[in-house]
Amino acid sequence: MQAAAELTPGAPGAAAAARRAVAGRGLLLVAPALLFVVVLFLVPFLAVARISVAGPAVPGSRTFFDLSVLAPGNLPALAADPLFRSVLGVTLRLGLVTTVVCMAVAVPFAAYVHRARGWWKTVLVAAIILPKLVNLLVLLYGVLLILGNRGFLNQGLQGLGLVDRPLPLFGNLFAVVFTEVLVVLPYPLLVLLAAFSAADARQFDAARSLGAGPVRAYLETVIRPAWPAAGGAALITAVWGFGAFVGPLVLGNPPYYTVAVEVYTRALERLEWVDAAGWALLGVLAFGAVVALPALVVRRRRS
Amino acid sequence: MSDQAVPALAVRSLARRYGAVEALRGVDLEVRAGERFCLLGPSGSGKTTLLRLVAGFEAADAGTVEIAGRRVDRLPPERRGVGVVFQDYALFPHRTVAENVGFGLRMQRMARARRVERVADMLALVRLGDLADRRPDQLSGGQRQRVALARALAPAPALLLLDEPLANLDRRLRESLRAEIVDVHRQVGVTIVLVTHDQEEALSFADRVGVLRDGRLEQVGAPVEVWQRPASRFVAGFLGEMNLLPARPEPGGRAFVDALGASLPVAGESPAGVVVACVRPEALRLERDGVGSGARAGAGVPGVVQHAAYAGGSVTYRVAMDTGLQMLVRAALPDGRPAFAAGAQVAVHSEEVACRLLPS
Repeated sequence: MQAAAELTPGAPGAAAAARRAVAGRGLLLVAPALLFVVVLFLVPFLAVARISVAGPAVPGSRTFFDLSVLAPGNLPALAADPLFRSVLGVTLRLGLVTTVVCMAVAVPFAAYVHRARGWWKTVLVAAIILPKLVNLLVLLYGVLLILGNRGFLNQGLQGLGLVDRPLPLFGNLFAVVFTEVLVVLPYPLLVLLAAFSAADARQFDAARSLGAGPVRAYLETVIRPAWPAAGGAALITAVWGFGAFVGPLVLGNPPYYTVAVEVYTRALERLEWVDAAGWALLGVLAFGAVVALPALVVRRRRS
Repeated sequence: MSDQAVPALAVRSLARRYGAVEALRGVDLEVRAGERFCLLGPSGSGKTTLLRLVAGFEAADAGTVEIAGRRVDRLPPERRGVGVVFQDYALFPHRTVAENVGFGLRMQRMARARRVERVADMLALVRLGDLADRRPDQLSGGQRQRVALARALAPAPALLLLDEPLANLDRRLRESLRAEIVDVHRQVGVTIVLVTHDQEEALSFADRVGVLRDGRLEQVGAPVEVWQRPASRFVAGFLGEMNLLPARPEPGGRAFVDALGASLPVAGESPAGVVVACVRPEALRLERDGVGSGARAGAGVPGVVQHAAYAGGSVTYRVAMDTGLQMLVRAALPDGRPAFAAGAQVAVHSEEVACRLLPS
């Protein structure tokens, strides 16, 4: 290094220029993603934010809001609305419960798949991915076939004489969480599986030779190094959970309607766009805060 | 301290097959307590398989493994009391240096105070005391391997296995770390089995060397012994450059080597049947063709230098003989330049060079 620097006295300047060139090319690499985010997320998000503080529709107008009015009071009023607060609470609870259940299922299952070999492993990975190829509505009506009053589960239980009347398996928190887990589970599973696969088999051997049994060695060299990935998996799951829409709509009932369901009914059934935009905006901000909190705590602890 | 009569490691008829590949074909081996033993062989010779069977990472198809007189081949790795150092270090990345070294002690449920002390001792042994709180990714390759060494030694294993521990390091670092491992061995006295494909490493490191080929031990002996008296053509060739030349035994402990046009004295025994003579490149001498007339003229065999590989203190010539054979000739160069370049017409001289005969 030193010799190279001596041979080329202009190196620092040249190096900086080279770094700038690389950074410029780096920008080029993110351009498609950036364009995507700006056009498909940022612009609509700002539009929603603007509509949320617009006035109500002028009678006879062809729009559902009046942009000539600026009504910033809309948002504090909505934030104080008991219905909004309760729906937001339900949504957050559903998202968190879904995340906890998903991770509790995904970590051991991913470990099992990671340790499987040959065709059985292929079958298991296919089983994780295949449900994603099925239309979400088809999947949910499939769930209804299982959990409904005349579904397999209730008929089976009644046939065995274990229950007299159908158990209320849908239209409640259990059904909604069950569906959400079913829908979201592949994501944390694939993230964890990838993380486990990155483990170094030599580290496992090293742990064994140092006196660790197979379980202890696996925890030490496969599960523990995957913690950051598990955090990412939980994040993905939580984001999906907060956005839950079709599951609660099909398998829940009004007490389990989420922010997304309420936004949908306001925007597309009742045509209250200003209200719908307010729900959407405050919902996103609240989810963002909940998701950012653990990330901030982790960063604080690291530094 | 250790009982010299009981070998630190005794392997009998050990065999392991992977599908159609026989990785080990019945290996018998005894490693003496306290010695530095080296398993030397090319890749695919079974040396790493042997090490993994001894460590218990894999089960043998047949044969037994005893460590310090105790049968261990049915025991899982964590109950064999064997320390292992891997080529790619295999440190736990999320743990500090001290935590890595202390891992085996925690598995032994050693009390915290004693553990801290033992970790400090081990880090002092490999001169890394000031890096105890670093993480592996903050260390250089050489430092990582020293941490791995300290980690393997911390639980005081009966046997230390080193699997190509220096292969990822550059040459100078390799030599200094090898010397350091020898120093550590002197202080700790643990029996070491080193696996390598590098003959120089094997010869300079080991008290005894075992040469593996295709899942069999071809020869076991002190470095000088395997170097000077190779038991087979393979060992002769693998341990360093060697001219293997067809030869005919003659009465009176001599053999006629056609390629050299000379009858050479034979060191050691003459095997029955067709034989080759082993002649080290440094035993031969090159002269310009046509020089050396008179009484000694018959001793030189003509050829053309194909390549002169200069290595600082010496030069190795590859000479194409008129007979079609290739001959390696090495000349020491205390100073000065190689006497011949590619294309030079030369004569290979071999006056009274002692050779060894091996079955062809």
